[in-house]
Amino acid sequence: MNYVASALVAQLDAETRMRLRSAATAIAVLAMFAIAFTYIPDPSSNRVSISWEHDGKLMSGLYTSSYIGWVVGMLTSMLLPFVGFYLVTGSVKRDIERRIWPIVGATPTPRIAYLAGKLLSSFAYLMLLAAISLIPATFLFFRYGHGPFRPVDMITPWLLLVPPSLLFTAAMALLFDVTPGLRGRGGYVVWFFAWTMLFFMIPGQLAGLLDKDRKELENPAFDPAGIVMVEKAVQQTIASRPKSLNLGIGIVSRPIQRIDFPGVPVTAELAALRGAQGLWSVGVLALATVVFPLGAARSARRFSRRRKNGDELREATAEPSLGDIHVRLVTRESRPSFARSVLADVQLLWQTASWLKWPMAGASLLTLVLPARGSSACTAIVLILSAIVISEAAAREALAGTSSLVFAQPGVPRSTVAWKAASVSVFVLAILLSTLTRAALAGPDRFAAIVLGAVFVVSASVGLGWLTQGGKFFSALFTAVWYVAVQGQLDFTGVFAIVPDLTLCASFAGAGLLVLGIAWAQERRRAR
Amino acid sequence: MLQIEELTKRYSGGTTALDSFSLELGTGVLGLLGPNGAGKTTLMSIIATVLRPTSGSIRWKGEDALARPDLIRRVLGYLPQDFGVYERLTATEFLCYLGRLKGLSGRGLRDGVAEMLDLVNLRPAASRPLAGFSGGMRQRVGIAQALLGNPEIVIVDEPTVGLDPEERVRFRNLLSELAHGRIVILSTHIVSDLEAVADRIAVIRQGRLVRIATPGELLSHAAGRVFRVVVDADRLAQVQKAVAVSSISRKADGVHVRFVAESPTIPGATAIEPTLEDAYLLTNLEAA
Repeated sequence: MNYVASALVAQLDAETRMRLRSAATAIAVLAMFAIAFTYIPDPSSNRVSISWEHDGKLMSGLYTSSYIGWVVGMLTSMLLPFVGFYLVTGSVKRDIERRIWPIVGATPTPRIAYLAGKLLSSFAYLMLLAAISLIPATFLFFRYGHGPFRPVDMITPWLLLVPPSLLFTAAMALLFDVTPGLRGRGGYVVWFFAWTMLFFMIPGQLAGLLDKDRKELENPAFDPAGIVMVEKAVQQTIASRPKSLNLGIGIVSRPIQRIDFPGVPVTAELAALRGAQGLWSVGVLALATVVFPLGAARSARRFSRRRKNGDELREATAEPSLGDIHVRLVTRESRPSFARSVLADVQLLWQTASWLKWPMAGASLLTLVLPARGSSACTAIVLILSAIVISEAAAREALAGTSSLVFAQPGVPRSTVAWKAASVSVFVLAILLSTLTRAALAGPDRFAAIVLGAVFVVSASVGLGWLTQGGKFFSALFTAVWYVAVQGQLDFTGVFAIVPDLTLCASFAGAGLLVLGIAWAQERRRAR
Repeated sequence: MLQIEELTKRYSGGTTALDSFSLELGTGVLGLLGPNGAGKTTLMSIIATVLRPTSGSIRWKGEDALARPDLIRRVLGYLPQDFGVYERLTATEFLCYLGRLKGLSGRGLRDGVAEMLDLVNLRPAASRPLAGFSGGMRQRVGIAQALLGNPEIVIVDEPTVGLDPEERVRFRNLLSELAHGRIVILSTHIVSDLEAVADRIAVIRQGRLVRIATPGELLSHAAGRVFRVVVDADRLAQVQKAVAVSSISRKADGVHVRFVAESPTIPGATAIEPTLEDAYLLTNLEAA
């Protein structure tokens, strides 16, 4: 047990130090601080964060200490898991790839203690970020608040909602981190869908949220974000189920009736129910402990083929010796150029796309032949898969440790940003060729829209990838934008909306180019 | 001819990795010897155009290579000390990728890659993903990519790391053969590697060139300054404090201590034939 306790403390200490020394933490803290101000909009404005419909009226709560606690708690427990996952996942992968795991694995530390330490340190980090949001909340209470300031009333709903949500997020980040296939680029995209399922759809289904005829909601056994608890809180306030409940920041055109929002009485039963959500995290930790050795062994050494015959296996995997070397080098014609280096990088993008390349290519071809709806669906698939493939292109050399090899080559231009922008452009244009052809046949507006959409995808991936030296940020951002776009809103490609909005597409393209421009300027500044 | 003049590199934290370093290199093997942090890797990275110096110049055949890095890149084969690979690619694919960046294409690229795989005897493993390669095999891939395209300048930073003793010998032989008509810059901690292949050895310390000489000249300089004494185990600590010890071996008759000094300061010490390691230690002592 001593080993376990000291391993937990050691892990917590090391991870906390590393994270606090990272620039990403400073950015995350500032971002949380800024975003928290949007949670509590000016009550005299047409912006609202939680609202519901009842008796034909649009309602929201008076800004009491309790209501502000509910709002901040709800929005944090819903939204921080999506972003927080990307901030905390990857520490096990890092330990394996940088060969720290073999050192840790040779200590008496049990595997579960190592992973539990990772889980607790991620949880602590997310809680720190979540706690930041209480500072603007308190400030905004004093600005817009109603009634006396009661800190206990503010913090109680926050404590009920936030910790179980973030503990579950930390556990899922750990599970993804140890699972082959989920620990990389693919996992970054899969998380978006997992988040919507685990935090919204499954709890809603279990509680009967979608059943509008149901008078009483169940207390679901699984509800990490506590969305059912919020609906019940609204139900208590208006003494019936609301016609609709909007959890999120929105702009409304109707007047808002603000009423006293007492929330849900905090009973021992409720506290136990929320605490019990933590058991799901324990279950995920247990699963991660089972999966971990499989992933660690696979990452440390992988073989491409397995043979049935043991002798063949030994022969196939035996390391050939260097042998006697007789040097006879032949000079071959070489014409290094920017174009060749771009094509080499495009080819590398294709090669490193692994199995993703086949559904991506298949969907791209089908775009030409399927009718409109099918074609749009295929374009959606092409976009999300190509985003996974290109997300790390700009940071590939830094992530793989090949910078010294690659940037000593004559064909590679001085500007990495320019090089990657060119190669990713060629790749994206090639993979979207079918969509572009179809759009060109549909009319100039559709064609212009998809071209602008491609500009956004290329520039955002390269710019964000280079600035953050990784693919997580772009993957997270693009997946969220893509999800909204395929619903027909914020369609940056003009493919999914009934009528393409060229202004919107140009705005996205402009934003992407701005990020790319920042990356390029930063690169030039560093080169000096 | 590669001319390095007054090369200086200062990092943003204030560390001076190279300090007014000057050197002229012709064909043959130049060995770089120095302690950790001496500036060897920084020097190699700058010559390889991966790092930019704070000041100074590098000229290749009379032309400014810092202003036009491609002058060197086109004739360069570089094996860095620590490098990664793309694990999902096979050895062939990885070499082809780097070959394309070097400007090779078509048949020339395919034949060049095949030639390199044969050279480092990795043809049996050529179709395996690099993820399954041992450290030594990855090092050989690194050697292969450095020699792809028949470079005129070969820079190898700790190239024998990960190779077993037999392979180290074979690689040293490779470097010796390569040196005909080429500039080879070799950095290593393994003094015996330099002894076997280097035409000249540059000793670097704290970013400065301390001495440049042939192995024979270094050994001549050390002659009469290397001694051996046999002491009891309880006197060892005292001896270590008094002189610069190059090796210690415990034998039946006591602890045999080999040390460098201007004179045999320990009673009972006798002069012995110096090795290159002794000569390096002496050079460092004189520079300190």
